[in-house]
Amino acid sequence: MTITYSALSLDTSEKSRGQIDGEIEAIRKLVNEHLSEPYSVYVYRFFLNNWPELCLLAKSEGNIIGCIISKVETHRNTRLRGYIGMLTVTEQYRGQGIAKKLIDKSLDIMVDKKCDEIILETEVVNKKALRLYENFGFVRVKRLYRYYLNKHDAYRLILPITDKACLRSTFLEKLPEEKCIEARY
Amino acid sequence: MSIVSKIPYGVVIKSNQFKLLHGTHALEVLNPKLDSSLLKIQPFDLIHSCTTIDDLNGITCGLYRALSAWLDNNSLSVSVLSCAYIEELLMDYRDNGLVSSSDTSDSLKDHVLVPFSLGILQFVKFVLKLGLAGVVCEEEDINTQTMDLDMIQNVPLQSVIDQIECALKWVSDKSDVSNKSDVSDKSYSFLYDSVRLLTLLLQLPSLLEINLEPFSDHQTPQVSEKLQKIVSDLTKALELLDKLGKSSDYATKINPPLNCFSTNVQKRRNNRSPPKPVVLLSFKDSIENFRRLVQDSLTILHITETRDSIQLVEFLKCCMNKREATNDEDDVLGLHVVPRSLLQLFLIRDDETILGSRKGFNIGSLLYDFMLRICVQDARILSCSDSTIQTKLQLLLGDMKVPFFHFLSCVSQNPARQRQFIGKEVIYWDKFQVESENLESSVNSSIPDNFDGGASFPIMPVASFVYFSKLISMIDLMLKSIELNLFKDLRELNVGYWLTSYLIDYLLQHLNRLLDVVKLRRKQLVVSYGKRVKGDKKKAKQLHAEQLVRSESYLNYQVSRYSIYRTMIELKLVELQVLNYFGYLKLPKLCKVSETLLFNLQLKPFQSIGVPELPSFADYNDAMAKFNDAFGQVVKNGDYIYFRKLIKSKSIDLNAFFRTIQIQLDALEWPSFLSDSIKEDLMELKRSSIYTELSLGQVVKILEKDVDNARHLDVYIERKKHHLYFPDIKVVKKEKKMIT
Repeated sequence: MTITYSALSLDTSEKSRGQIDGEIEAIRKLVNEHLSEPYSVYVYRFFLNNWPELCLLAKSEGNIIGCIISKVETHRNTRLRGYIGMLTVTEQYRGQGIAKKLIDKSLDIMVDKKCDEIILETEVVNKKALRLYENFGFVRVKRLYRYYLNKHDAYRLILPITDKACLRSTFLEKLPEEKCIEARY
Repeated sequence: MSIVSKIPYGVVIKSNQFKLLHGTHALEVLNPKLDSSLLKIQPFDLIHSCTTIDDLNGITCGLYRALSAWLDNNSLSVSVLSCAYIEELLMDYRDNGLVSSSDTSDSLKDHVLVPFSLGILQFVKFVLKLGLAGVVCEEEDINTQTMDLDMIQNVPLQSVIDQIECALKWVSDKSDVSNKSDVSDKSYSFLYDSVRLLTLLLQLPSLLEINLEPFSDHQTPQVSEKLQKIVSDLTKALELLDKLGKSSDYATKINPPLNCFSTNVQKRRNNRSPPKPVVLLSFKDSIENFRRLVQDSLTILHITETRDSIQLVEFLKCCMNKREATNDEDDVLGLHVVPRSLLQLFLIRDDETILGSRKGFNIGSLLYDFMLRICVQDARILSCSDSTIQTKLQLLLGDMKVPFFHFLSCVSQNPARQRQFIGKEVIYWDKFQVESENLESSVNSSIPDNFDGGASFPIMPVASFVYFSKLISMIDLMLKSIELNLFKDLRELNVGYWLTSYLIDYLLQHLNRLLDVVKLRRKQLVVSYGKRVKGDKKKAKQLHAEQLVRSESYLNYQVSRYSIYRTMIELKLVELQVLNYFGYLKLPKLCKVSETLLFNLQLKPFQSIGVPELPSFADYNDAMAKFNDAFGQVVKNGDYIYFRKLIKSKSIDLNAFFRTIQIQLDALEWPSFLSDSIKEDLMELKRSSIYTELSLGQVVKILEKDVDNARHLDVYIERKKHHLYFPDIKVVKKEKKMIT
C-alpha cells in the first residue's frame, strides 16, 4: 500500500472546483472525527485559503487518510513564526510513520520559508503526540492550564530554528515590512 | 450565479472590517458541534417532578453536583443553569423581578426548593464576583459566561439566608411529623444537612466586608467576632460534609428526576459556547470538591494570624505551593479556585490597603516593612535629609511595588500561571536592580554606607534586597518548570538542575553577604546607642536589636533551605551525568536543531538578565566534558568507592541541614499553622532526598557489578508521591529476554 504526500492545491487548472471542494470537505471530516476541539468553517478557511501549501495531505489510493495544517505569520513584527494547527491520521493507518512524515515535511517547508521558530500546543495527556513532536526537538516552554474544551492542560512547544527564537521580542529589531508575512484573508 | 462564477477559486470575499482569524471563535450555524439550536428539547414537568422528599433530595443533591462541576472548570450552562428549576427562577426574576416562595403553598418546591435554589444562585453570584474581579483567569480558572441571565443581582444575600432558615425550620418541623408517621428519617436528615450546608457556605462572602489591622493582636471586638463566626461556620461545614459523605449510599440512589438537568437551557437561552452535555460531578467528587473549598478557605484565613511581613510572605508562599494530592501524574492542582481568589481580594483591597487596614497600611508599606526585615534596616539612605535623594528613593520604592504586587497576586493563580507571574517578576526585579544600584552608588559618597573595608565595599541595602528578591524568583522559576514537567527528559532535567544549582550558589553567596550586613548593623547599633542606655532608649535599643536578630535568624533559615536544595541537586546532577556518560542524555533521534539552540531556548526567561551572568552552552558543555573525563578514569579503574563516599558525605550534609533548619524554624517562633506547613514540606524534601541517595546508590551498584550493565538500563522519571521539585529518577537494569 503506497502512501503519497502532497499539499492541498486550490489551483483550478490542476483540478476541478468540485474536486478541490471534495478534498476540503474530506479534510474537515477527518479533523472533526479525530480531534476533540470543534472547529468552525472559518478556522478551515483561515488556514486553507491563506496557506494551502502548508496543508499537507497523506493519501492512500486517492483517499485522504491524514493531514497536517499549519501557517506562517510574523510574530510581534519581530520574527517569523510557524504554527502547526492540526494533525490527524485515520486510525487504521496509525503506527506507520505517517504523522512523523507529515510533521517532517511541514517543518521543512516552514524552515524553507525562513521561520525563526515553529510552535504548537498539545494536550498534556497526549503522550503519543508529545513524543512525536519532541523527537524533532520541540521544547516545552509553557504549561497552559485547562486550555482545551475537554479541560485538559496543554503544553506550548517550540522548535527554535534561529537564535531569534531564544530572545524575547522586546529585544529584537522590527522586521522590515517586505519580510513580514500576514494572513491575506 | 454568473457573477459568483467569475470569482477566482480560493479567493475569499469578505468585508475588510474583519479577518478570517476573528471568525475562528465564531459558532457555526448548522454545525452540530457548534450550533446549540440543533439540540432537541427534553420534556420536563416543573410542577409534578418535585412531589416526594426523595425527589427534592435528588434535585438539591443534583444542584450541589452541578455547582461543584462549575467550580471544577465547567461552564454554568452545562452545570447549574442546566437545572430546569434554576432556569425557571431566573426567568421569573427577569420577567417579574421579585423572587419569593409562597407562604400559603404546602409544596416542597415552594418551601424548600425555591429558597435552596436561591441560595445556590447567591453562591454563584458570589463566585462570579470573584471571577470577574480580575484576580483569576476567565475560562482558565472559572467560566463566567451566564448566557446573559441576571444572577439575581438585586436580591440581597441576607434575605435569601432568611428564606433558607425558614426552609430549615420547615424541614425540621416536617421531620418531627414524619418520625411519627414512619416516613424515612434519613431522607429528612439528608435534606436538613444539605440545606444547612448551604447556609454555612453563604458565610464566605462576608469575609470581604471585614477590615483588619495587619499583624495586630488587637482587632475590634466586632471584627474578631465576625472572623470567629466565619471560622466556626466553615468548621461546621466540614463536619457536615463528612456526615453527608457518609450518606453516599442514599445519595447515589436519589437521582434527580429525568431531564431536570438538561441541555434545554443551551438551546433556549443565549449560549455563546459550543453545545455540550450536562456535567454533574459524582456525589463523592462533589463532596470532595466542597471539602477542598472549605478546608482551603480555613487555610487562607490563617493570614489574619500572621504577625509580621516575613510571616505573611512565607504564608503566601505556603499557599502558593500547596498542592492537592492527585492520582493523576499529569494533573497539578493548587488551592481551590474560590479560596485562592478570595485570598487575594481579602489581602489586597481596591484602595491597595492590606487586609483593609484603616490606618492605610498598603502594598508599599508591606514592601517597605519586608525590606527592612531582610536587610534594609538602618540603611543610611533611608534617613538621608536630602530632598532630591528622598524623592528619587520614593520613586524607586513606588516602582518596586510592581514586582512585589506580582508576587502578592501570584497566590491567586493556578500553578501554570504562577510560573508566568514569577517570570514577569524576574524581569521587573532585574530592571529595578539596575535602578537601585545606580541610585545607591550615586549617593554613596555623600551618604556613605559601607562595610568595614571602606568605600570600596558599599552595602547598597536597597539593591541588595532587590538582588535577593530576583535570585529567589529566578530559582523559583526553574523549580516551577520542574514541577510543571516542562523539562521533558533527562537531558533537559540535567540542564535545568545545573542552572538551578548555579543560581543557588549565587543566592547562598548573597545570603551570606546579607548576613554580614545584619551583623554590621548590630555592631553599629551598640555604637549608636552606647552601652549604658536607660529607660525608653534602652527599650528602643532592645527592640531594634531583637529585630536584627530576627532578620539574622530568617536569613540563616534561608541559607539552610537553599543548602538542602543545592545538595539534593548535586546528587541528582551526579546521577544524571553518570547517565550522560553512558549516552542516556542524547538529543532526540529526529532532532532538527542544534543543542545550543535548545539550551538557549531553555534559558530564554533569563535572556535579558545581566547579573548574575548566565552560563553559556559552552560553559555547560565544558562542565559535562570535565565530568566525563573524570568519570572515564573511574570506569577505567573500576573503582566506584568515590561515589559511595560522595553519597555518604552528602547524606551526612543533608541530615545536618535538616536538623539545623528544624532548630532555626523553632527559633523563628512562627505560628504553628505556618511552621507546621513548612515542616510538612521539609518532610517531603527529606523523603525525596532519601530517594535521590537510593537512586544514585542503585546506579553505582549496577556499575560495580558490571560496567557493561550501564548500556542496558531502563531510565525514567517518576513524579507521583515525590517532592514537586525532585521527581525520582528510576534506574532499572533491563532484564534479558528468555528465548523459549
